Amino acid sequence: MAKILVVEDERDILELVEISLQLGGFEVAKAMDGLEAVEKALTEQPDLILLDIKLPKLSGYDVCRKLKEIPDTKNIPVVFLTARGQEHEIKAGFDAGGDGYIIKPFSPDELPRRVQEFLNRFKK
Amino acid sequence: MRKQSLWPAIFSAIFALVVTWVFYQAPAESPLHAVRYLYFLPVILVSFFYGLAPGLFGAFLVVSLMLPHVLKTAAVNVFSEHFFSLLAEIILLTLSAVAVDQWIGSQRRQRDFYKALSDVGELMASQKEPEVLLKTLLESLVQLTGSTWGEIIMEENGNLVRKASWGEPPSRKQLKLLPPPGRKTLADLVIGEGRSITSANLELDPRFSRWVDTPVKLSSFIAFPLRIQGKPVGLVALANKPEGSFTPQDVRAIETVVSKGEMALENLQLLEKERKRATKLSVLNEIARNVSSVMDFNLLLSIVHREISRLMDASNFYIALYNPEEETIEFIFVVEEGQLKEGGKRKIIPGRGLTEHIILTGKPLLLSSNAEEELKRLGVEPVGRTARSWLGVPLIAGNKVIGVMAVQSYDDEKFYTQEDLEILQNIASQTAIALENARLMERTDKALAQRVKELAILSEIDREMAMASSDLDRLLKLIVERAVAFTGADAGLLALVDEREGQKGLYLKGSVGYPPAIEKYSNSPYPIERGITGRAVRTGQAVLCPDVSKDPDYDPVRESTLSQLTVPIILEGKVLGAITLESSYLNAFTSEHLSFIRSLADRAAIAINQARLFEKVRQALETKSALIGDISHELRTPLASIKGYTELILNRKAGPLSERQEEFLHKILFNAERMKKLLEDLSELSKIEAGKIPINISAVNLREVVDEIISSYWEKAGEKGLILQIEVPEDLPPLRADRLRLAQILSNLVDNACAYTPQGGRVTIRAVKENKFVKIEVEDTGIGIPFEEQPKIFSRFFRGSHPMVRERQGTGLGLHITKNLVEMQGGEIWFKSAPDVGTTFIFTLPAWEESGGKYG
Repeated sequence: MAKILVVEDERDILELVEISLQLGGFEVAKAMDGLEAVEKALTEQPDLILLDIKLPKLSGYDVCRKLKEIPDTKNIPVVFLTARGQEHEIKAGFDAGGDGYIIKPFSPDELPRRVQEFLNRFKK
Repeated sequence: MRKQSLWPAIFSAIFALVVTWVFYQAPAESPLHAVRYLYFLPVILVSFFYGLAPGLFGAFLVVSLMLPHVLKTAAVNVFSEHFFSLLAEIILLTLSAVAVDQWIGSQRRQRDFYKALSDVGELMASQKEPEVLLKTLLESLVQLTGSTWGEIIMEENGNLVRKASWGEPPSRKQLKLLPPPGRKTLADLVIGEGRSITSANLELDPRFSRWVDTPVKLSSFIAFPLRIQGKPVGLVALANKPEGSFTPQDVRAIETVVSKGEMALENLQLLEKERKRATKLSVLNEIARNVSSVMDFNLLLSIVHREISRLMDASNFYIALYNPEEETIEFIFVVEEGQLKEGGKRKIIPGRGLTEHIILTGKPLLLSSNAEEELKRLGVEPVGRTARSWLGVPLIAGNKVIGVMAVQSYDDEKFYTQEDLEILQNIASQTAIALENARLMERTDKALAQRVKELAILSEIDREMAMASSDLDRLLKLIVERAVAFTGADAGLLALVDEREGQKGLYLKGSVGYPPAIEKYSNSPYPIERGITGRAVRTGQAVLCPDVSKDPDYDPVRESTLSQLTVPIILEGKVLGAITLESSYLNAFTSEHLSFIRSLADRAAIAINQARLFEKVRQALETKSALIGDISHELRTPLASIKGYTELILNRKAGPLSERQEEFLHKILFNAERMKKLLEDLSELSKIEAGKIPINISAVNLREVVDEIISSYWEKAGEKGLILQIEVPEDLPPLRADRLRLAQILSNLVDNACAYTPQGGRVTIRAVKENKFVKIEVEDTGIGIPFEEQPKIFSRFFRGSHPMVRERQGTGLGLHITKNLVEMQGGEIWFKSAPDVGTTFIFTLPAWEESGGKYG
């Protein structure tokens, strides 16, 4: 069972994502700020990280940059959660070393499907 | 031989033969012997007609005819009475021949003399030039009297001028015949008192000996006054007659010839006067005619000069104009030695220069023989070479002296007269009018040209202001450049009062012609306590400084500056900055410059104000956009929760649902979806309005974009049974557009078309090239737009009344955004629609190949 680290400061959204992913058959680790995200990535060693951009303490971009610097985490795919209408975030995400993006909001049915797609892509 | 006729000779011969025959026939004591005295007649006749020699020959012939008879009768006694009487007769005959000849000779000489006199009279009367006339007179006198030296001296304007001379080469000493101090000269005696003087030997004459110092010996001297209308005006002197002193006959001859000469001279002078008067009239007439008709300033002056030359020596001539403001005189027309010369300009220094003297006194000045004394008397120091004779008159227009017209002569013998002065004054008054007219005209012309230039600059700046209100820096630089160009300044700058990082002062916004060091004031302030510019900013008063060395505030930022003009930029009483212009010349700026720079400063103030307002508006829009962005982002997160959990419940992830529950949850989901769309559109719109949407222009292949966006509609269209049709030609040129925005436009339009077209309908995407644009149409066979709603469909938050519209999650912002996006890319959008028939949206975008990327 693939383990997904979800980083999201909004508690309700975090829970929604968690439930959606669990219903989709994924194991979920959670972090609510940037620093915790880096910590969890190191300790949990997830298969994929879903990373929000606006985060307390450390922004999503900084988290991603940091993760890509650390040898233990640099191979974990990072997928940004970006809002529609904030297309510039996509480019900034890739610049920070991100591997993909999912536009928020997403339906609970769709999310596990997209995550699975990413997992399949990065396994290759 | 006086007479060619032979008759007197023949008659004389027959008469002599008859007398001889009678003489021989008569007895010795007969009284018929007295007939021999009739021999006198043929001798006198021959002498009379043929001269002395034939007369004497005749006498000899008569004697030889008579001699044999006399000798025969006298043979008795050689010294008889007969012999002596014959001897006496011979002597008498000879004497009578001589007497007759003498008489004839004197008659002849007298006749010749009178003929010579009349010839001289005729000769002189035929002369046209006084100079030639006087020469002829002298020559005639010399020939008549047999003198070997002669001179004619005339008085001209108080000077004695030698007009003709004969004999020894003339020398100055001779000419002047200087008397000892306090005594009258010979010329004074002759001309002044009208006396003639005769002297057997001038040098030895105790009356004159000390007066004359000459290499020529003047013996047998005679001097006569030359009179015109009874007034002595000159003298003729003759001397050195080889035969000795002049006879009374000589004196009479001289008197006669001189009086004839005087008459001829008088006539000539009258004629000359007449001619001069005629020339004067023609000159004045010519000038008057040209003054009113010739527009070309220089041509007019040339004509004036040419006409003056007809009346007097004008080979040195000038016209100078007086500038009372600058206190200068400018020589606008100068002729030197007959050559047109470049004029000049000089500052007026009282007491220096004749031109200045005339300008300051406004009176004409004639310097003739006594030029130097006159200058001393007037206290005027001349400029340049002093002329022998100088004549200058003021040019007066409207009771003001506007300049001077002058002629000067360096020639010893050409002096100007009072008459010349009057003529020149007359011409000057005409010329002054012409000059004043020309000056006024030129001033008007100049003022007009200046005004046109001003207006051109102002309108250029106004255009720039209207066009580029956002680019203030560029405008301020343009203002500085134009200010410098217009005033002919050597440097100029525009600085604004500002406070940056707590440093208040003048910050440079634009400069021309300064050393590079000045650029430091772009980033660090120039204190407003410093310089003329600082003063203008502090006081709000413009400064027109003709000489910076006299201004204690002057701060030498630029080395060679001599004069400066600073105009503060004031908006609603507040000094925003200043425009400063500097020149390397004294007095470079005028009040006209000042008022023009003021209008530039006013424009700068308005532009600065505009830019500040614009900046404020822009900031406000940006704030609004950011606020809307923030709000929509903040609202989106809870919305995502609402939507997400609703979907979870609907997907039975939280347990089973009743039908009614499911229906309500769908309503929640539908409205959450609508709200989400609304937030997205609002965010988009606020960005468009704040100008925050980046447009990345590139060559875009329409076909590709259409294919991309249409792919997401195939499914939807299939469900609804719609036909999607694409009519984009293969050879369509690429568009000059932002690919992403083009996709957004097309999506919006196709989305609407699909949404409002009922089952079985058709949606067509079509493109054609039209001129430099590509026209793209999205046509549907849908419900159409009611006519009354058509004018409003691009308005914000407008939503149609048709149920199909109401059903949709529309926000009323889609078409508004679409229109903005089209226009941002240089295109236009419009539509055609009829209810229940369908709607076609048409928009244009520039074609790439035509515009060549010039807008990019």
